[in-house]
Amino acid sequence: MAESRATVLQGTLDLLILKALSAGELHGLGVSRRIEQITRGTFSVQPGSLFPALHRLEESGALSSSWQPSENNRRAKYYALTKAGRRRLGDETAQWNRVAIAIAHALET
Amino acid sequence: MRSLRALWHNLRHRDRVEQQLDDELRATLDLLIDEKVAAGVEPREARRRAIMELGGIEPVKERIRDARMGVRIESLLHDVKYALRHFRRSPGFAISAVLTLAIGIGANAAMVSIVNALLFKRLPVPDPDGLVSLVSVDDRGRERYFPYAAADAFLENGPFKNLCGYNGGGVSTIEAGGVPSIALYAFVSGSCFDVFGVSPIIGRAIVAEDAPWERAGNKVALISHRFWTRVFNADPAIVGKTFRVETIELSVIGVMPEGFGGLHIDTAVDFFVPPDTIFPAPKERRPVATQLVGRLRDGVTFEQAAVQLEAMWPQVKAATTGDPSKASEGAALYGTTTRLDRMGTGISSTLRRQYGSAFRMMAALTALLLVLMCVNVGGLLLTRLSARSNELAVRLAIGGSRQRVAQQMLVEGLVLSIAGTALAIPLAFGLIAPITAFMPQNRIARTIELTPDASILALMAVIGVIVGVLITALPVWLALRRQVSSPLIWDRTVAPATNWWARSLLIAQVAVSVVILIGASLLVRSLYLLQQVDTGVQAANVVDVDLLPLPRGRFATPAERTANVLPYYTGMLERIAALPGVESVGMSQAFPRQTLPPSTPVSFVGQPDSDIIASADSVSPGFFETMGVPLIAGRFFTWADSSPTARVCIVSESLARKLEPNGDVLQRHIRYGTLRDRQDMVIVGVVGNMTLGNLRHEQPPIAFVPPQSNGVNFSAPNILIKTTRSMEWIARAVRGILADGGREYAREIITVEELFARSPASERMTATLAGMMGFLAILIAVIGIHGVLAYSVSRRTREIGVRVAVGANPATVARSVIREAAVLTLIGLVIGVPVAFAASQSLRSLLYGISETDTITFAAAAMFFLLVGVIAGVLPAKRAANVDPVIALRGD
Repeated sequence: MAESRATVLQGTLDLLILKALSAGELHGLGVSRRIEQITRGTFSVQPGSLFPALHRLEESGALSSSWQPSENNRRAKYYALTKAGRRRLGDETAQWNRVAIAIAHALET
Repeated sequence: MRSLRALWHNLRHRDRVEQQLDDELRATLDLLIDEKVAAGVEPREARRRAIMELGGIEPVKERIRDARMGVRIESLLHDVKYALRHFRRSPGFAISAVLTLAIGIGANAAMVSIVNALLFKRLPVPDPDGLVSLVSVDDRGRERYFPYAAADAFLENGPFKNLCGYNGGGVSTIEAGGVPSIALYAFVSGSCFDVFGVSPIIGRAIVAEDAPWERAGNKVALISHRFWTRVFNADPAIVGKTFRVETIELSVIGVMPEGFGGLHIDTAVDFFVPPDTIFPAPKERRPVATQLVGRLRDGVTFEQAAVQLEAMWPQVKAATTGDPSKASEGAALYGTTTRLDRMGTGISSTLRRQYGSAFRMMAALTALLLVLMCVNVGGLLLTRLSARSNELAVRLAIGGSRQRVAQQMLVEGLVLSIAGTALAIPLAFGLIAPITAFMPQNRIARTIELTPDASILALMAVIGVIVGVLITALPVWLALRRQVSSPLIWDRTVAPATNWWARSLLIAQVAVSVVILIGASLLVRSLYLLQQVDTGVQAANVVDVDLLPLPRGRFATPAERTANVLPYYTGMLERIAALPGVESVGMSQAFPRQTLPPSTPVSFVGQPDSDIIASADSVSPGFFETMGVPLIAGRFFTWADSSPTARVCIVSESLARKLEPNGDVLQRHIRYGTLRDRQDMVIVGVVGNMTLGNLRHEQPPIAFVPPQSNGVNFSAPNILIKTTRSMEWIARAVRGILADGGREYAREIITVEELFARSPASERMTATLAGMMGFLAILIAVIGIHGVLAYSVSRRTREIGVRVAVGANPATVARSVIREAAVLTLIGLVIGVPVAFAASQSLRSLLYGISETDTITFAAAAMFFLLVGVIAGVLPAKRAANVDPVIALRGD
């Protein structure tokens, strides 16, 4: 399992981030922890991959950000889904499901 | 839109963005620590683990920057700034590199402009590449002609959409408003301007009614914009005005747009006339066109058309030329075939032929020079790369990506090449005029446009970028290839990889330089030999007057001309001879402006044709005396030789030797060519060998005839005056005498010496330019050798210090540096000389009096280069000998 914890499947990182943020806004570390949680520890995202992805998504308009006090009263940068981000989450989920079914089907036969 | 805004934001508020990035990552680190402390880890250990988990703040920041909008532009700006700062620190290197590249790029742009204008520029008509030209060629490959009527026959069933008869390249004196000048004209059949697709800007074009087959065309002229401006001062009410050509008065019907000058690209036509207007053809002959010009039907390929026309020609010939057995144009066209040519770049009368190959060669040499310059600057950049290896190693060690380091080096190269290109633009514009000044102003004014245009500037920009990439290719590659594992120990004392590459580049420089130097030496020696040619005449103090007839000075009938021409010239010569300071005077038809090689067969009468080929000239009494040509046997001409019954000639010594290698030729009868009056001429004298004007033909066999023999007269001769007075004075006096005569005017008055000096014009051009390039090539090679060795010595200071400290003789150290210079140069020569040997084959047609593989030139160039290489090593060697071991070992 160590192998797969280290790597996030190419292209799924954006989807996971969007999904992690769909329940509410989180700071960077929170996104990382949330992804671990919702994938039951299968994926652990390194900061070196996570932060560039967050910035890229923010620039493309899928996320917005604001500075807020964190749970233990430090200032942190919180990310939230925008309308475009929600739409994109929907699109990418549907796309992912199609791919997943197709791959599963392919592997069964 | 959003990404553009993000880009703007990132670039505009760079500091704030950076600050926020830093805050965010620090906050994350703090959160991580808190998390670990909360889990019960001791705070200092928690901090350590947090940093490890984050993977270092700076690398993460770097990766975020890379993911962000505008990262490229931002880092590019940064690199440009960095490069500029870097060059400011070593201005000597930057200035010499930029200058080198500017010279290379500028010279190339100038050459490309000239070659483009001369060889590749399209005719200024719509779809120039759609124009094709049909010529008839006889079995000896000479171009013949077509009856104009053949155009209609070819058009009827042939592959053409349209077709017309064109006969260009005519030169004549015209007179407008009493002012004589030279003008070029072309005969066109009625549909030519439809074929060209160009309409007049004033008036109308020549149409079918102006140019009927069955009778002489209307006496109308369609004039060029240049002619309109030059002769008529751009008179807007030009239509209906007249000018004279020969005895004919032509009336102007229109003006063509600026830049349009017919099909000849270098000698633009001044006026177009219908066929048969100026020189009426003899009764039994119909007018002929030198070529048929048209456009092919849609869907017909050039090759199909060529085949079809070849097949059609016999029928068309039979239908349009009459019985081939009679002495008609049918006989002249007997055995001819057709050839289809593409006309996109037009026809070139002389410039392309005379200068085309010279300019191609020059362009190749200039391109080679640019390659040399790239290698040189690239080598210098490479040595600087190893000087900066510490800096680069540190950058890599603190997390700079290798791509970024490579990009930065590429930017440095581009900054150099862009600066070089910017400087090269004015240089290119400035170079074109002096280069083209080598082309002689012929009778026909040059009409080729030689200014660099937008496409040339674009090409320069492309060259600039390519140069920038080339000069950094090796440093970038080496930087990318380097092992990350050993960045900090890389090249502290020696840099074997870089040194090896720098030396290879140096060898390449020597090789390329020696190729350029050998080519240049061959051309320069060739020019020297050409200038040393024995002309066989005493040209000092002799003035040449080039006469051309005035249109109003023509005689109405040939008979009148025969009767009057001799008294006219004898009278004129007497008046000139009577001028104060004139020692002697004579006239000649061809000398000193003959450029054609000997081409006419000469044989003894009553003997079969020999294979002796000679030139001919008509010369007056007094000519040989004036030119100082010695009489070897017999006598010179007298005026009595010009009587209708006398048929005498004088031969040059070289012709006499060819006719009769051992015996006497005096009083022997010879025939020359096919002219009727030259079938039986008595040799009355033998004179010394002399040139007729083309110095490339040494001691040509010449047959001289008197000015008038059997009805053939001087026309447009030269007057040669040996004088002690100044040329200006003589010129004024002669122009006065000519004006009194009222029949001719002096197109040019020049000393014979000057005329000979400008004769090898294309040779002088290639030799001068190649000489300059050879000089630059040597200079660059010296800079290259010196740079690499000086650098190597400075890197080896410690090593040399150690060696001297343990007892090495400084002189031995110096010798080793010089030896290295010699070895590197020698290897370069071993590569370069065979390349030069192969490449010099292409110079063959440009050389005179010297073989393209001339051993002396090759050996001298190689020896010279070796010497230069050793001299370039002297300064670094001195520095090596002066290394003070105490100081050298104290370092670091």
